[in-house]
Amino acid sequence: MSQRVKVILPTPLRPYAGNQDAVEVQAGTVRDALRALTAQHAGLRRHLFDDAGALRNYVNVYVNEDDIRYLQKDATPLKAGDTISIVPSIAGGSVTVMERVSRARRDRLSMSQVKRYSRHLILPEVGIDGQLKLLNASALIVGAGGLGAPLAQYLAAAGVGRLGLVDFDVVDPSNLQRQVIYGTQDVGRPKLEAAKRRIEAINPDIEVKTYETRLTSGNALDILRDYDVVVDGTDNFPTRYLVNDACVLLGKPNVYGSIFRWEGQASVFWVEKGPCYRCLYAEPPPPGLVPSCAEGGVFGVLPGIVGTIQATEAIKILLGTGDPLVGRLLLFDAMRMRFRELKLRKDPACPVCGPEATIKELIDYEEWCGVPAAGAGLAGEFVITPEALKAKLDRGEPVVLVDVREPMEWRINRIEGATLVPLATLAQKVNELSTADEIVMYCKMGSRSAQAVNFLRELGFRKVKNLAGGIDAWVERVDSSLPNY
Amino acid sequence: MTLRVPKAVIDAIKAHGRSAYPEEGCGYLIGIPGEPRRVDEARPARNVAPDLRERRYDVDPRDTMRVGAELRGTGREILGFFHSHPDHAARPSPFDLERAWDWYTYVVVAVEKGRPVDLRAWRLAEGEGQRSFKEEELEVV
Repeated sequence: MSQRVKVILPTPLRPYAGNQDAVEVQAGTVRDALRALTAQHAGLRRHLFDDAGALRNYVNVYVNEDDIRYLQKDATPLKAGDTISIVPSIAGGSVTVMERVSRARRDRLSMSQVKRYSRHLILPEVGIDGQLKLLNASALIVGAGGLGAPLAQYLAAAGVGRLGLVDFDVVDPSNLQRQVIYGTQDVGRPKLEAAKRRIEAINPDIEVKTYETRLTSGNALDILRDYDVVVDGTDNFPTRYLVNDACVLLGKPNVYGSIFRWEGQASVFWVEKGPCYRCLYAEPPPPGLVPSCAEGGVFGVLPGIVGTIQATEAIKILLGTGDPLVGRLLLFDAMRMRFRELKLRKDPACPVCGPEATIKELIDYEEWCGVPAAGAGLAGEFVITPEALKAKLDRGEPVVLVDVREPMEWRINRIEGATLVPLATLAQKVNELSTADEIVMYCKMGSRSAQAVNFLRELGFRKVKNLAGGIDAWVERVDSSLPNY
Repeated sequence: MTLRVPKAVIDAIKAHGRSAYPEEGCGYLIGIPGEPRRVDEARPARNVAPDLRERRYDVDPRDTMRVGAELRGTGREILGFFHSHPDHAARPSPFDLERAWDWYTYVVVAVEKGRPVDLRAWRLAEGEGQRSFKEEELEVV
């Protein structure tokens, strides 16, 4: 018998029923009620029923308080005044990369793998089980430069089954002095392309995933998440801190390495077992304090040594053997050929891994922390472009040009008419400069000279300017006859 | 497409994700429709997935019906749903996409080893063609 019933619609379906949240129909069963509903409002049909005419599985139907699946399904009879509710079935779920990977676990070595890894297989600390562990493991190498070059090659050779590589740079001739994964023919190519090719040549067993992007707070968690161990081969502080914080949040071991001129450092930051990078250095250094390799120079072999130390630690972590550098900072001095160790402790007040951590999300420190292109936040009147400087010099205007780089750099190139006053000696030489003069200061890229300009400004100099982009920009845009380094 | 949410509600979603860990937590986003959508409440729901609740959530439809009935005529509605992803990204999965409804906002919070680290809002992209999620702009007030 037909009854007057009300059908309640969820918000997403209301537009198909003239924006009503309830529709009255005459029907004897749920099936008839829904038919009547879709007869009145045809737009509802495809949302409620599939092509075969069955109720879609993400739609639940209730008669009063009861789910029709526990009554008589769509044959459920209706009484006058009953309320039929169409209720969205909300569900979801997912499968992670790690799960997909674990389903594809390799559990036996092929004949060619036995040959390839034979020197590992006869080591008691590795053996077949250890080698299979490595083949089923993964490592993310952040940075395909001086440290990334030995890392990628040795981890591939060792048989770490899945390698991720993060970099967005292109091979430059100045890389070839130390980044031995690249050859002369690779100059101009994206680093990841050349590196991936080299890894595949070393070991075709390895699955290589490349991330040609800058690591940011928006992508770091998603990228790092899919790997067992993260190896930090970066060359700048914002990324180091990002990698550290992401590893703390994800609970992943972070194999750290860094280089400067003739000295290197290495450690393993693993929050469940010891300190993190911020326990050691809570904040990034002020801009300009620590020169990059481009500014300070680096002994080419050094990243080869530190990078292979990092590869060693990464493999030990994946094998679960040996004593990793957790809680230990290894210091290496290539000149004196000495290794030293410092003990590192978890800082109870660490802002990211301590019990009262204030950092719960990733931070982008951005360019102020690295080498800024135009000089650390100098206002327009204290900055001059290479073109404007050239124009001034061509007009014969009296300009005092001060080069604040080091003597070694001065020997390679200089702007004609400049005087060399290395930054560290500026304080002693300042009485040789006059506030009446137009002074332009430059260095290689513009950050040391920005510091110099600020120093002079604090002493009362008003007519002092920083050459935006340094001698690099001068060579690129004004005088390409000069060699550059 | 903007979702305006008070910080206290964001914190409540994160707290629920933390307490449900290692299982997926879920619940309702309730508020006033419009542009921007204004959420004023995040109400937890029971995850009645029969198993694998670390990887599946199923909002109890009885709860959905009751909440819907409670809100009828008040001007407030179920604007969408939130759920947590234990140890994976705050991004809807292919399965999430399969089961997604038009119109609703889906907030996903990534809970890494018990700590909520990332929270994003998503809606099915409008128009014909392949179904996909589009990130909704989140305005925290």
